[in-house]
Amino acid sequence: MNEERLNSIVILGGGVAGWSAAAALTTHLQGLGIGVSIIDSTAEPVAGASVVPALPRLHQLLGIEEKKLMKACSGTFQLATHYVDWHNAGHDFFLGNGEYGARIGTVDFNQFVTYQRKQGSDLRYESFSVAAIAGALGRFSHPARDENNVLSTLGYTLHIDTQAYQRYLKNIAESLGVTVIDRDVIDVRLNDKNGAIESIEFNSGESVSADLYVDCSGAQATLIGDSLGVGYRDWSGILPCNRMMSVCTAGAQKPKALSTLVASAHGWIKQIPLRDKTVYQYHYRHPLSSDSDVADSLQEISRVVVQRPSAVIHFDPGCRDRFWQHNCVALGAAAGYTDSLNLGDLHLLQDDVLRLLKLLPQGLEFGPMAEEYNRLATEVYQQSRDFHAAHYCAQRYAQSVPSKEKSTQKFWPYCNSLERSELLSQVIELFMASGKLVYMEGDVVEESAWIALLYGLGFVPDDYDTFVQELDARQIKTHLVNMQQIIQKSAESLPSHVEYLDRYCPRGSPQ
Amino acid sequence: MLENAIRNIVIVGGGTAGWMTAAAMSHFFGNLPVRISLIESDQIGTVGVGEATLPHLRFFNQMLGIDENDFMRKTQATYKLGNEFVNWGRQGDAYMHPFGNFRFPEEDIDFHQLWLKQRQGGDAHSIGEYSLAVAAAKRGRFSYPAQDPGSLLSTFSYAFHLDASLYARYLRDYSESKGVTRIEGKVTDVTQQGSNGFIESVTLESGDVVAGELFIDCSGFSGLLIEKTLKTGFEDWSHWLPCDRAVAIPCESAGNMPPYTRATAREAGWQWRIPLQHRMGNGHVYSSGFIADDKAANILLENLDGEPLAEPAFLRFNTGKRKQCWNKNCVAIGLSGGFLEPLESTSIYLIQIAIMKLREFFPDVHFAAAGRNEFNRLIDMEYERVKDFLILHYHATERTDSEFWNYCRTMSIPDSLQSKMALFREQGHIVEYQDGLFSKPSWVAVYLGQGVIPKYTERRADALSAAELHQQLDALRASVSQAAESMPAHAEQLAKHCAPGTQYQAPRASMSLYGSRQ
Repeated sequence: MNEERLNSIVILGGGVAGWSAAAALTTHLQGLGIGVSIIDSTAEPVAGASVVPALPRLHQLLGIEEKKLMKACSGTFQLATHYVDWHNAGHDFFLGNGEYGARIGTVDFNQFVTYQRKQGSDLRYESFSVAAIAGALGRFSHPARDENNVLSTLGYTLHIDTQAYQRYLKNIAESLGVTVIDRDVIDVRLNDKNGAIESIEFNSGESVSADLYVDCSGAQATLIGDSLGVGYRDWSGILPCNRMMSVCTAGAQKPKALSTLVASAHGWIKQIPLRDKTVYQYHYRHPLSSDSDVADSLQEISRVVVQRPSAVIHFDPGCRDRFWQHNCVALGAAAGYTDSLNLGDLHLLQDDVLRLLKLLPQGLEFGPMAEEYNRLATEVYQQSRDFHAAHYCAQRYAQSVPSKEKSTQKFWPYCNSLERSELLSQVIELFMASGKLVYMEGDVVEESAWIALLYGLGFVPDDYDTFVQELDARQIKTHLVNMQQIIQKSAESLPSHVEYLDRYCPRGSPQ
Repeated sequence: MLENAIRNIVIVGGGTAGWMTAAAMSHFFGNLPVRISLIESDQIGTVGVGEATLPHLRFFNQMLGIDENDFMRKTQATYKLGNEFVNWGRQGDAYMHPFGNFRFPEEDIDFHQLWLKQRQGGDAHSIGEYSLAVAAAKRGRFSYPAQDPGSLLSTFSYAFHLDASLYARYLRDYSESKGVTRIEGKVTDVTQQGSNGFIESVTLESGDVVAGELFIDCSGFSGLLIEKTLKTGFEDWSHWLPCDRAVAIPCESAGNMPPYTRATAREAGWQWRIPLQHRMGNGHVYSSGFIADDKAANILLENLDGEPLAEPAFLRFNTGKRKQCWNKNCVAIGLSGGFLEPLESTSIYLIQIAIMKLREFFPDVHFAAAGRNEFNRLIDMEYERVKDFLILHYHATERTDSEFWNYCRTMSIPDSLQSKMALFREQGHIVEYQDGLFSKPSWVAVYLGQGVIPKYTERRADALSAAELHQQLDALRASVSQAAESMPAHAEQLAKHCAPGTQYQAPRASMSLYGSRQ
């Protein structure tokens, strides 16, 4: 034991957040003699599905093999998100992972698309994404390694069963010696002098103390909120959905490598295909829509009886004023919630866990690391919030009349009254003026995803880059047509997603 | 849209900024119907002294299609592998900030963490001994970096020392051959549009009127358009960077041509030494609040490597940045946009960045605010990031031998730098960002070079076997020194590359300071 160094960490809460933190910390600190404990008294993880980044640094760090993970978590691939009825009823688009088109000369590719659209063409931006086209066709392949191959521009993520994912992470953490404390917390004691957490007290009369506490207690925020009194920034005026109702159906016959997001009467429905089932998540705003109305709609769409109230999860869009306060860092829902439209909720969580590892204190003076963590996390949460908030702006830009169904409902008209952050205003203003994206630090949302989203939602820039004129109109057209053809052909040459899955991780075979 | 395109660009002022801008614009616009004019007066001298650059300049030159060896011949350029800092942390100290990175198998632990662990074990080898750029620079060696990222010889990058007036001249020829019109004359009057205050035209001493839609102010410190006309305002940073004057003088180089810039701290400022092919550029940057001009000049004259080749020339400047580098239809590039002292050779880099960003957000006649705002935000960010790095050099010192150093050591520093330093002091953490200067290897070099030593090393580094690490570091040091020894002498390489009709082809440049690994 070294008195002046960080020697112990306690994680409160055993959801996906808690077990992600436990797996990451035990792996990262393996063999260093730093005790990692997790307080988890829940019997079974909550069912659900999510989209996780496919080759995230976190999985690399944990030494997780994609094949094994997919097998254990009923995983399928995700090449793109299929947006239905967002811009207006009957309109859809695919937001592909990875790159769109290829730079022509010195000008960003999307400038040429704007140019063509201004010439009266109805080019779809997605026709320049291999992932979008292949996804729409129900095909899949891993990206090619050869940079000259157009298939190297593919990007993908995974759909996984979060319940199984949590078990998977738990196994890793347990195999690396995490101490599991199966107790119910009754009190948290703070240090009289500095206000930091002194110990966590259990109903058994026992207690636990550590140098650093990781609050993964979910929206309850037992440590960072209840005990340390750190405030919560309310973003419900920016992000409208505060409840999610979910059901599972039997697996689709031939799942495509796509998530689907359907704008619906009460909000939007995310459809995630897993190997053995399909998950429907209806995100809505309460009390604008009642649980029973949403349940009726969801039942109609999924043809599955909704088990209320267990199927309903509550959210508070927003984030902590400080994510790290004294000797406590909040992860997952305890830290914040910025909607889970396109970036799954695990996306931010993994980003948080990696940030914690990077700034993990070596000594017992946490101040500088806490400040830096808070600065970075605030930026990430704001960017994620604004990426999702952009989805709800689409209606305001849509020229056509909203669909009949939407107009009879309150949700979408309500979205017209949402606030817009300064950052999002800048993003939209600059994009509309020039098709360029405001510089944002970090990589929480890929630039290509932002641009594809804005095009898909019907934002068409008023102008294009001056230097598009380096090429004449005919050259530009030829370039784009060729590019589309190459992409289409490459996508068509790929095996079907189902075939690929059956070969890559066959069901029922030994691991 | 084409009908709204800008047809007339007027650049006011020549010099490095003016001609870099003119050359880049003439390259960007190629055959497009845009008229580019540059107004300069032979009567106004430029601030061109021997100038040290960063590797990014190679990217700029290659973008223009300039042959590197031809450029070097005509600008009396030498190669540069980094900056050496003498007497900064303490009198008698010296360290190198190299254009290079470290190469070590333990990829997920920062190299400096391993070095710190080794140091705790009593090992006195400096971190520079593990950097090929440093090893080569110290030995006076140079070769092109290898293209194979697996090779130790790919772990560095290089820049130039050049004669800035010759570079401006070189780019003038380039620009004129591409159709830029040079207008000789002094601007005596500026006409603004009544409605919005945009600049409509400038009037020359001759009475000629030059009109345009976009004006680029490269008039230097005076900020003829951006400040005198548009009254944009200046953000003064001299309380953090107190040097406000310089005295410069070339001297004979006596055959000495080190492939690096040297910055030697003096009692109230610092002295630069920039080797060119035909002479040595020297200067003393100082703070007028702490030392008189004649004394500053004496210090410079007493510390030359060879016989002076001219009379000392004095310059005055103000450290800081224009509040908006792009205001209305006027973009300030170069000293009119801001000035950060030459300690880390960032002046030409900042010109280059402004040019590239102007291209990215090139306006049409409507001058949409969104593009201008983003340009200004990005330029501000570049300046802010360089600023913190420069302040670190002054602040991280133990010197108590003069009022000037006492001031620098104890002055309050920006919060952004305060937190960066606190993170490094506590556990060697470097704050990173995607765009802009400088990145991890640079911060590590200056922190450690100036005595900012972390309290804790990373536990994962601590856990490595000391004996094994020792062995690995010994091996790395040996291969670095061997690789450096295998490189030819700088002067020899220079002569080969600059010989007329040379076959040597410079490697492809990137926008990285550190070579192919970054």
